[in-house]
Amino acid sequence: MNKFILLTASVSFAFMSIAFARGDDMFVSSPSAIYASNTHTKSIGMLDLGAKVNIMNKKGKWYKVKVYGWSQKGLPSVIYAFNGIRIKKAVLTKDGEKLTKVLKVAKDKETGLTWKEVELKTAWINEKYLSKNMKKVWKSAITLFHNRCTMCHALPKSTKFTANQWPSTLRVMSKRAALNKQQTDFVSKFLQYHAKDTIKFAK
Amino acid sequence: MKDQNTPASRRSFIKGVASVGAITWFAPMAFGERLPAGPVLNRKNIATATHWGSIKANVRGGEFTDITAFKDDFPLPMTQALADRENAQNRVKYPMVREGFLKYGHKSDTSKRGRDKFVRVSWDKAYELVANELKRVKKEYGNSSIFAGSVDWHSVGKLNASPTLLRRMLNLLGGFTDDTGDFSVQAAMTILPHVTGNIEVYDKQTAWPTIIEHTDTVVLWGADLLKNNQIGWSPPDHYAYNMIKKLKASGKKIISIDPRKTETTEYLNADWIAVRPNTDVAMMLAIAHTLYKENLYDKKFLDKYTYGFDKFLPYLLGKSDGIEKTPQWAESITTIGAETIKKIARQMAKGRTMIMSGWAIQRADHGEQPPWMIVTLASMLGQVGLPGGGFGFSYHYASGGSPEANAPSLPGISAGNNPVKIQIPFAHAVSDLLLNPGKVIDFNGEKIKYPDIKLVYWAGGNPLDHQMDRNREIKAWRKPETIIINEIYWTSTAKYADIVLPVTTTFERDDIDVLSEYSFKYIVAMKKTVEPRYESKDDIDIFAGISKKLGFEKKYTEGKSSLDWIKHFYSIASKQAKFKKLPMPTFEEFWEKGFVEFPITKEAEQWVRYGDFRKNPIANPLGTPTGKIEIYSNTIEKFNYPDCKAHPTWFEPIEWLGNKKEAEKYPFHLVSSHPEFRLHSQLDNTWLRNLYEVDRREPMWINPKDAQRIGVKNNDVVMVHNKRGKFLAGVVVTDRMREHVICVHEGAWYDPDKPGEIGAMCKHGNINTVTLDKGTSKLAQGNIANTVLVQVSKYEKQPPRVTAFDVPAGG
Repeated sequence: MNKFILLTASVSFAFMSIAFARGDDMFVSSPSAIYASNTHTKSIGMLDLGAKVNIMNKKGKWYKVKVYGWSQKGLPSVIYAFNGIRIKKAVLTKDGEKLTKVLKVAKDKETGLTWKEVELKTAWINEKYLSKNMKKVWKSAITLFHNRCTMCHALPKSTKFTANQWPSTLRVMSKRAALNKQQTDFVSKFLQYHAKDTIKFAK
Repeated sequence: MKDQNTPASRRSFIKGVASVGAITWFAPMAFGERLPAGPVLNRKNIATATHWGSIKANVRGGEFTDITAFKDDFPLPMTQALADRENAQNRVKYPMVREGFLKYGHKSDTSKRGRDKFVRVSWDKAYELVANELKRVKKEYGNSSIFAGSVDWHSVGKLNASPTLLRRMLNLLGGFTDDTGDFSVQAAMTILPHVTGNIEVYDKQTAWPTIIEHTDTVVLWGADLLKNNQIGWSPPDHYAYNMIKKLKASGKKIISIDPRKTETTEYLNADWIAVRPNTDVAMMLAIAHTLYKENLYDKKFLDKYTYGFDKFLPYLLGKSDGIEKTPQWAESITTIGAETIKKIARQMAKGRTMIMSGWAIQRADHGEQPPWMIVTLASMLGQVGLPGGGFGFSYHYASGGSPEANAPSLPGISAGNNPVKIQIPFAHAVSDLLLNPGKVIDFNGEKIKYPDIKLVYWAGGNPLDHQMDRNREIKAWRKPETIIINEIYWTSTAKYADIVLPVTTTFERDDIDVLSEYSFKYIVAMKKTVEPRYESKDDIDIFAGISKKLGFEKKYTEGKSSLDWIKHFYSIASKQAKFKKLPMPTFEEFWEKGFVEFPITKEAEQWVRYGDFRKNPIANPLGTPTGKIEIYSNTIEKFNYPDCKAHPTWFEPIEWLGNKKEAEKYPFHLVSSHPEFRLHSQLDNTWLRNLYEVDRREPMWINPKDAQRIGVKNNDVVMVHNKRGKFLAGVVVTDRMREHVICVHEGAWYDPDKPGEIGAMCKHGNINTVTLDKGTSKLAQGNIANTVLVQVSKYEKQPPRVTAFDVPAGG
């Protein structure tokens, strides 16, 4: 693979963090707006926590990324992580939708639903919303999960439910678990990426 | 010793509570059994909260004597017994160890459990014994040999949640075998995530005001709103009661499908459809059949919002199995006339219909099917997501359907991570687990292998009351080398333990909680009312004491006192409130005043479950693979379970009246719904039981014709029995029971005539001497308490004295 390394401005800073290679993967560490260009004036939607992005370029504090995923027919504004598995990666505006390209169309035999493999060709995101190490980001979600979801019952295994089931299941419990909306989304995303049907991708 | 022959005023009591208006009747009896110790004019009223509501405890002359309602829309009669419970004669007074265990330790004769003497020890000695046993079992067998999945109702309070505190300690020790699920709703909460993508049973329901405004017909399927809304896991505010009054006043059509004519049925003047127990699914299928045949179903809704109706239809029409699910077919199973079933179907299709399901129908063999079929029926009616329409699985519990306040939420003590990842479905987590180390069971697509349990620790619960098939359980209970219990009272579980640690009551400790589970309308202070009795200690302090011996006290307490924790929880709620721009007083002001109240919003009063989904099912998908309501589940199809198919199915239960051969021998179906004047087994040790018991035994409701047939009358003592066991009960003849069905509420304290023996008769009326210890199916593995046939015979001998509330020798 043809990788070339782009170092950030000063060498000392680069040591601390952001050496990246074109084609490298990074992860969205906090929900963030995305833009069509590095003037970051026109928002084309948002990238959700945990979304894996593909690095294309960097200018200043801004990364140009590509996002791969799956959309359900009838809902082109949402890019999910996997085929048939509704973990939101991106929610796009109409303009954002125009920047996507359909790579493959697949009709699921079981559900009868049509899913499209899509690529968001280009999006700009601020570096503070990206992380190389998702494990580190999940750490505080895990702490919340361990602390708040054991107040009334045994700690559920993250594999107890599927990625599709987790958000609505956690929503039932979030108030009892004293999770605010942001915390609920955070824990929910962690559980979705480590669920019965996605744990295989996490490993 | 109390006189065993005190006449009970049961009749007038039952009459009195049948009308809701008479519900504050028996306040004058509320005194505890001791006289106030100080001048009676020294009085204070202290706010606290319970599973029956928040109250002010009145202290006179230093004694907790009675209560006053506080922040409660509809105060319950039961709360008047709390002072009596505080002063109960059967408190565990000191740390106690079974004599055989004290002598021989883990090598003791475990068949002596339940009949051995107890010996008082010091707290220090008790801590040491517990810590040494935990260390020994961990070292010899590993952490998975410790079982502590003690999910039970304990007492409310965000801090002294005893099962959580126990888990917290054992997690620091390296973990333990836990359980998973829920005794009340295991079947529903396992199947429904496959159907609607979430557990439903504890989720927000379509708000009551929309029902009052929009609903034409309410179908109560095994749901007793008046009885079961009394209690809550969090302290309840009893919001539902005013709504039930409004429901009555509205004159809507109410249909109650239930083998009992419940109080709700009576109060709402509902049509009572006395279905044969465990045959609800057959009746639902016949309703579906009528809706289909008479073209009363919403095809557009099925197309847009559901998946798999076309795969279910061949079954409904008998094309896949040769049996068309006609009303005539259902009549032979349910005993409800085909015409009646058709009429119900037409009524449901006529206007806006809300199906309110209780939980008893899913605590039965194949209990996964009724909830699935209820969702299917509601889907055919096409009103899911409309105000006052669709289905609800929590209208009978904790005022489900009450609008949610704009409130911060309050955290509590947490257990943290359990390094041992073994979790046993709750219904199997005592007998089946203890008896069968190494056994592999199916559970919702997984395989679970039982570890070899050597030590059981239970805090805040009474498994020798609630678990099925007591005699099998007594056998299993002999397997562990060590059994440790934290308890307030000498329950049967405490009597059958090796080490019993005495715990304070709610009134003897500080805590904090939220009111209620669905409204979140108040945060309430739970302030200590009286000093701990005898040598009892708060749960948190007990586990801190053991943690000290185990060497991790600091990690356990995080250096915080109880009040520090309470303030910490409050401060997190305050932060959330600030973010939401809600005013909240300082902790000190709150603690003084006893509560903070939050506003209910107008939107919340109009909230409709699945309203968003209905507006746009693709943008707001459900958590199922299709994102729609799944009447057919490809996931379940792949599990390939013989006892839970890919669509709702009628299965013959393992025991039921339709099995002629079995019913000849055991002609009564026993239903054992939640008690009216207890919370499961809690409050049984108060004067409340004097009001409803018969000859000091749990009442057994029986139809007049059945009573005549077996030759019993009111106040007779009968033996209820089958091949698994036997118990005594007192007869109440009432035409509120369907023929061939008897009702004995669950939760009467187990009281064996031969303590410790397998096969002993319960003298007091604990239904689990006869229930069946089997899972609902390989899918949910829930308990099937309501699937049991029995024989009833008059007890001709002199009935033995009830000793359920006596303390054991040495205690």
